[in-house]
Parts: sequence; C-alpha cells; structure tokens
Amino acid sequence: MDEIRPLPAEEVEKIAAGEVVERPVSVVKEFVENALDAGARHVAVEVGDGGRRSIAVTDDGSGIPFGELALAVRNFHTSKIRACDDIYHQTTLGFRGEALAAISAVSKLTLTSRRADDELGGVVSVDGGRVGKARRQSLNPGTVVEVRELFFNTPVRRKFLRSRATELHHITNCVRNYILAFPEVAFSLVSDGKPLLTSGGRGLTPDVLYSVFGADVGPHLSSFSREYPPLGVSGLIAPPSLYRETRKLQFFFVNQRPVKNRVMYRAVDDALQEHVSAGRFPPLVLYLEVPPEEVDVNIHPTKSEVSFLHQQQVYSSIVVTLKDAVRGAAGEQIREIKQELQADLPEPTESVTAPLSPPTVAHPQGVRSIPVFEMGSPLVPDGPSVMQTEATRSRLSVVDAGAVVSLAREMGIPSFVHPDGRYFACQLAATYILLVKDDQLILIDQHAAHERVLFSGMWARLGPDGGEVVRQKLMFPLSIALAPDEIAVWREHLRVLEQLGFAVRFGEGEALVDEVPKLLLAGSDEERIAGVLEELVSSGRSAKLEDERKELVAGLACKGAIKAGDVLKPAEIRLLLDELLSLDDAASCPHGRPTMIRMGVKELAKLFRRS
Amino acid sequence: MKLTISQEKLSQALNLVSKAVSSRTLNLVLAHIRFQVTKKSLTLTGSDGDFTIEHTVDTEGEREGALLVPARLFVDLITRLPKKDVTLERQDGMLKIVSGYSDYSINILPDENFPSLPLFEEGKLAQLPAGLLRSALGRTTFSALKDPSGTTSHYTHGVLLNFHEDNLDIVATDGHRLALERMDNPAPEIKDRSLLVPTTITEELRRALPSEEDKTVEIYFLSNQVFFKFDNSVFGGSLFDIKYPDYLKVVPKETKSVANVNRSALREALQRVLIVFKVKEQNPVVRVETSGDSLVISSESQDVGKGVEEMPFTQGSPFADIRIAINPAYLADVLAVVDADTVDLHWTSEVNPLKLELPEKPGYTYIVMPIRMD
Ligand SMILES: Nc1ncnc2c1ncn2[C@@H]1O[C@H](COP(=O)(O)OP(=O)(O)OP(=O)(O)O)[C@@H](O)[C@H]1O
Ligand SMILES: [Mg+2]
Repeated sequence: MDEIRPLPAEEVEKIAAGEVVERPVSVVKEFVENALDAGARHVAVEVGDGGRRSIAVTDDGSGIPFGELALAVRNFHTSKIRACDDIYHQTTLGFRGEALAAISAVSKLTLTSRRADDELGGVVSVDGGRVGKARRQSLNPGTVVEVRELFFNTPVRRKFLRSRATELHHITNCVRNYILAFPEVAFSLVSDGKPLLTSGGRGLTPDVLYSVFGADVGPHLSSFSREYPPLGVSGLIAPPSLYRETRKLQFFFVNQRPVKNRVMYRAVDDALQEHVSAGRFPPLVLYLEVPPEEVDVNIHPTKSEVSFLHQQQVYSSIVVTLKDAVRGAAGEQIREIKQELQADLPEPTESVTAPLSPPTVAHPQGVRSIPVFEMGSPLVPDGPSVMQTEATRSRLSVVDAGAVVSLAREMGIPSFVHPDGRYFACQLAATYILLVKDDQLILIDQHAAHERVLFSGMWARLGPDGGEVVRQKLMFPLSIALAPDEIAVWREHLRVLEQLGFAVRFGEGEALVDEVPKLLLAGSDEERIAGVLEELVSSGRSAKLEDERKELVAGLACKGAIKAGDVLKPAEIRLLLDELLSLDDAASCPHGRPTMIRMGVKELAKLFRRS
Repeated sequence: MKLTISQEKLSQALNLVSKAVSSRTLNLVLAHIRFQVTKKSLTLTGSDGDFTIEHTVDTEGEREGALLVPARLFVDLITRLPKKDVTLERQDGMLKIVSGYSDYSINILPDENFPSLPLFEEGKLAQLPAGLLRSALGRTTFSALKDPSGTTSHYTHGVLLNFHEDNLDIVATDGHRLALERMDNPAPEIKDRSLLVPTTITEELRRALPSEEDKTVEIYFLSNQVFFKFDNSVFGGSLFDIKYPDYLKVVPKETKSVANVNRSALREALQRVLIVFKVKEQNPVVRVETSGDSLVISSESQDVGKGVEEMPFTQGSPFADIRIAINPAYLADVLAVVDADTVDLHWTSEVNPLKLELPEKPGYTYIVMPIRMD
C-alpha cells in the first residue's frame, strides 16, 4: 500500500472544483451571479457548443481594480464578506470566494475587467489553476470572464458531459431563472452565434414572459403579492388547467436567489392541491423575501439549496398567498365545476337505484333465508382446515343442487352450485355475488370482477410488449409549443418516440405530432397526448407511456364489463367466477378498487362475538 | 294568460323548444320554458343560457300574458294528454291545464330573468333553401364531436360554415375524418366569413329544418352569435371563437387511383366486418385493398377472429392497386348518411388520407386518415 502523503495543491483544487462546477451550467451560474453582485445592468452570456467549448459572460458592473485581478481567482478571496457571520447579513449572491478559483482550476479562464474610474483595464489568464501575470488592457467599463475547454484537465469529468443539446437546455433554464429573479437587468443568451433569450430589463413585460414561458403559458400568468412582515411572498401563476407533468415551469426564489427547497415545494403543492391532482404542476414564479439572517444559503457550494429558520412561517405564508392567488386566477372556473359536481350529487346513480329482481322485493326476507345456511352449515367448522375443506366439498356435492337452485330461482335469486361442489354462488341486488367456497364467505362486486377479468386478457395482448405498434395518422398535426432548447432535447428522443408509435416533426418554436400510437388515442385528448410526450422526453423513460396504456386498457375493460344492475344467468355467474378465481391478481380491479371481500371463519366468529 | 290549443300542435312545439333546455342546470329559470301568449300567437322559448330555440304557433289567445313553466314536467304531461284541445290558464299563481277529464294545476315562475333573443334581424348574412342546408348538415355534422360538458371549445366540437369567394363550405371533423360539403355561396357579396357553430346547435337544427323544396332558412350573424330562422322558428347561440384548421390542406390534391363501389354493398360489408371487433373495443382497423377485380376488406381482432369481405368494383381513372388501413367505422358512418348508388374511393398512398366522393353529387368530399401498421 502506498504511504499517506499530501495531495499536490492543484489536485486539491481540482477535487474542490467538483463541488462548485458540475457542468457548464454551473459556470454560467457563477459568472452571472458575480455580474449581478457587481451591480450590472446588462449581462450577456455567450456559449459555444452548449458550453462545452466556451462560455463567456460580459457585464457592465463595477469592475475589478487592476491590483486585485490576480486575487479574484484565488481560493477564498472575496470582496463580499469579511467573516463567516457576515454571510447571514449579506445580500449578495456570492460570498464564499471560491467560484472563480474552482472554475479556473479545471479550465482555461481569462478574466478581463475595468473599473469605470480607471483609464485602462487589465487581464489575467489562468490555465488549469496556474495563474498568469496580470497585464493592462483597454476595455469598456465592466467585466468579461471567459472559460474555454472546461474539464480539459479532468478527462473523466469531461466524459460525463452530456450532449450539446442537453447542456444548452440547462444553461437556458439557468438564464431563465435569473431573468425572472432580476427583471430590471437586461439579459441575453447567445448560443453558437444564435440568440436564444433576451430580456429588456424593463420588468416582467409580456415579451419577457413570452420568451420564458412560451406562447401558451406566458399570456395567462397573473400576479400576486402579499406581505407578512418580515416575510414577503409574491409572484406569478398560471391557471391550474395549464399544468405540466414536471416542475420545469415552476421557479422559486429566495431574496432573488433561485433555489430548490422542499418546504416551498410542499407549500405550493398543498396550496394547489384542491385544484390540481398530485403530480401536476401549474406554471409558477414564486418570490420569497426573508430577512437574510433567517435563511441559510450556505448549505452547499452551489447555494441553490436553502433552509429557513422559521420553516412553518414560510410554509403558511406561501400556502395562504397561493390559495388566494389561485382563487383569483382560476377560481371562477373551478367554483363552477365544483357546483356542477355538487348539483350532480343528489341525482341518484344507476347502481344505487338499480331495481332488485322483483321476487326478491316480494320476499323482503329472501336474502336472509338463502338455503345455504341450512346446508349443514360449513361456515363455522372446527376441524383442521385441510380436512374440513375436503369435507365441505363433499358435503356440497351431495346436496341436491337442483333443489337449492330451483328454490333460489323461485325467489328470483340467480344462483349456481358448482357441479363439483367447489362453491355455491348467488347474485344479490343484481350487483354483488355471494360466494360460499370452502370455509369462506366471499362477496364479489360483479362489475369490478368482470373488469379485472377483461383487463387481464387485454393487457396480455395489448400490454407493454404485446402487439404491434399501430399508428393513427392525425388529420391536423398536434402542435406542442417548445423553446428552442427544448426542441433540441426532443430531437434526441426522436427514435424512442418513433419506436413507440409517434411521428414528430419540428417547426418554428413547436413540435408537430403527425401520428400517435393507436392505443393512446382513446378520445384523442390532445392535452393528454402532449402530457405523455413531455413526460417521455423529460424523463427519457417510457414508464409513463406504460401507465397510460394500462389506464387506457383499464378504461376499455371498464366499458366492456357488466354493470351493477345487470341480472346474471347462472352460467354467467359461473363463467365470471371461474375466470376471476384463475387470476393471480383477482383481488382488485384495474382501477384499484377491491373486487371481493372475504370473510373467513375467524372474521365471522368475530362478527358474532364468538371467542 | 289563457289559451286553448290542440294537444298535437302544443306538444310538437314543446318538443322542438325543449331541445335547447339542458337537463342539468344550476339556473332554475333555465329549467323552464317560456310561454308568451298574444291575441294571435303563442311563442315558446327554451334555452340553456346560450343555445336558444324560439318557436311561434299561430293561434288565438284568449287572454295575453307570459310565464315560465317547468320544462320536463310540462312536456311529459302535455305529450301524454289525449289528442284533444288543451286549455291553459293562469290562476292564483299557478297554471291550470284542462283537457277532457284531466285537470292539473302546476307551479310556475313569473316571466323574469329568462334569456331572450337579441334583435338579430339587422345582421342578416344569407338565405338559402332549407332543404339544402338540412341535407348538407346531414352529410357533415356526424363527423364532428359533441362536447358532452358544453364547456370546452375545440374545433372538433363544431361545424364550420365558411363563406368564401364563390363558395359556402360546410365542414366537420373529429380529427380523424372530415366531411366537406361545398355549395354555391348563397351570399356572393360575403367573401370571407366563417362561422364555427357548436355541434349541439347544428344537430338540433338538422333535425328541425324542413325538407320541403320551397322553404328557406335565413342565417344571421351578430356579435359572435348566429341565428337560423325558418318556418316559425329561430335557433340561436354563440359561435366558437377559435381558429379552424386549414381543412383544404388535408384534402389530397392528386389521386393515384379511383375505385367506384356500390354503396350499400360496401356498407353492409363494413358492418359485418365491424362485428369481428369486440363491440366495445375502440378504433378497430381494417385493410382495404384491391386485387384483380375485387375490393377486399379484411379485419383481424385477436379477441374474436378474422373476417374477409370481397366485392366487385369498377376501376376509375387513373387506376392502380389500392392498399390502405383505416378505421372501418369512419367509412361506415358516411355510407349511412349519403344518398347515392355508388361512391368513388380516391387513393394516393398508404400514408395519405383516403378520399370518398359521390359521382352524382360533385360538391361533397369525405376524408379518412389512414392507420399505419408495421
Ligand atoms: N463580474 C465581476 N465584476 C466585479 N467583480 C467580480 C466579478 N466577478 C468576480 N469579481 C470579484 O472576484 C471575487 C471572487 O469571485 P468569486 O465568484 O470567486 O467569489 P464570490 O463571488 O465572492 O463568492 P462565491 O464563491 O460564493 O461566488 C468577488 O468577490 C468579486 O470581488
Ligand atoms: Mg461568485
């Protein structure tokens, strides 16, 4: 084994850099934050090859004095705090004094800067952590930081970089965040010479919202704002009907810093829970103002995770604000729907009023006097279970099946005795089947049971890999609005989508869907198709599609199944039971409702309080 | 208010206006039908708050007045009365209904807050033979969807009346098939106006329009509402204010092959073939191909089995062997509503829409999107 020895300084820096710099977007984030800390009014981001080749951020902020250029790229050198406790009072985005150092350890970095008061600026280059000599250079007031060949000296990390499109997607999202966080600053993002995002720095104007949220969401955002001193909650929200399947259009800020925080997520989800189902996320911008000393941003070097001193306060102020906001945004619509639903309630549903078969009505006691209870009562046996199962069988088989059934028929109860004496069954209220089998009393919901039977058969044929892909051509292509960076990500998934039965093209700011898998088509609900596609692309998995298919097949099974209120013939009862009992997953219908309730000897004894 | 009227006349009128009354409504007033009696007429109005039907019967009123009667109850009652005269009279805030040995008094509402039709007469757009519109709607409306909730506006939930240049196009689609009826523009001065009428309205309109040759229907358009006036009736409601897709783009311009087929033979074959699919399975698929001088339709369902139908056809020009997969229900639908001995199937390729035309009726086009199986 090798001896323990100190790592060379540059290796330490490379390892530490890993914490700050995960991928090109991390560089963009640090540079943009530095520019904003320097009070810039304009911040221009330019990337080459998704940031894999080059990243440059130009600002018109305060600039760095020539004498401090070389210090700025040193670890733990910052102009922003003097002592650790200062963190809890400062309002700048950066304070650790490590970003430039970390980035320059794993790239080729050039820092050029000039203060407005100075005649000349200066430039310093760092090559994989080796700081060059600062030289004078003329420049407009402000700072340009440029990085080339990120991870050139850490080949493993370089290998982990994703495609140009994916990295660019992250960068675009990052810039979106800062556009929303600092609406008074003008941003631009240019990728390989092509402008992707711009904001005028004149606040959250319609064109800014359009460029961040796209045409379908941008115009529908409404703003909200509340004060709970010392907290402030404000932002923008879309009507819940415009939900997405992921959080990608939800933006969270604490004191103008983009953050990820569970308390905030939960508050939002809880506030909206009345309006959207779990797993759906309406587009949202949430700005939280908190006294700097009540929030800890120094959890991780990237500072995107935060924790609050008064979590509960934060939680409830967001919930209250959003509940009000949603009532404003979509409240009217939702109230109407709710009222409609309530209006529906008094109308009795079919299954409830389903008439009992007439003779049963004529003999109100009929159900209770089903002859099965007089058949030598196999219900509360006390022998060992195997034996007693055998016993039950033989006993049932010797019963005069014809007599039982004809008696039941006289009473208007469809019933059936299995010829081998395996069970006795009858139908109750044209809805349930009562089954006596071995030492159990089983109640079956005929609709749920038939649904399960049909589903199992269909799923086996139409399931995940059963069956060919049948594609339905759409008459008018379905358009899904996408940002250019999203289009690039979609392109990467084209083949998977194709295999699943989709045909997708791309137009100006949109994906056009020409064909969809036939199975997905039921009702051709465009919103649903779009949702599935979005989920597919963002997760890269097809689990969602499989869920969709399952749900669809379940829907078909439900439509095909016998309903509550259908009177069954004895042979139908038998068929249903035989098929149901042959399935492994017979206990619940594909929607998750139980198909049967079993009562064994123990349960019955309990009901009758036999100890 | 007092009036005596024959049961037949009254129940006919009630049946008509009750088509606009929605069965589920939160607004109590809208669960009612409005009665307006004048010396010369009885006017009935039913409305769901938007879609409104007004119908006037020429009859002598004994005493004038207006009130609201509960729609369901009143319609059920009147239609079950014997075919004799019925006398309706307002008495002590109730409506007394007397006919033969029947004598009822039912609660009513005063004529308040009931939506009334705007003065639409100034917005006259066009006038055309009622029978023409009736049959055109009959050949198109079925292709659109009905919005069960009545709350979402989508182009599939309406029928488009597009006045443009020399034509009036009536278009309906559900996104998988499309029906287009083109006729001469009855208002040639209107060069560019399209009305997207909710299917709920066109469906009732189609049923109510008279088929007599000499009757006309007038179309009015006023601030995004449309009104159809014919006989003694007015149908009115809001239009969908949304963009209709460019339907002309999906009509295949060129044809590689035309096959002329007997309509009823094809229809019956499709109906049989559809049986092979479990009744409740959605979106069945059949292959339609020509082979020699037969048109072959084959279906296969793993649930049931398979079936093949063969029938003769006449080659049109141009002609090449046809091969395409489609949902047979879409083809069966159109064959049920068109009145023609034979139909022309126009085919371009397996991935292009299949087009159906009627040799005897040039203005009609029906399109079915193909299904791809590989
Ligand atoms: N664009 C800029 N304009 C002006 N000064 C800058 C700029 N970028 C960096 N600096 C200076 O360089 C110092 C180091 O920057 P660096 O990003 O490494 O650390 P930091 O921002 O203080 O803290 P953190 O590591 O949390 O980002 C800053 O404190 C600041 O004084
Ligand atoms: Mg910094």
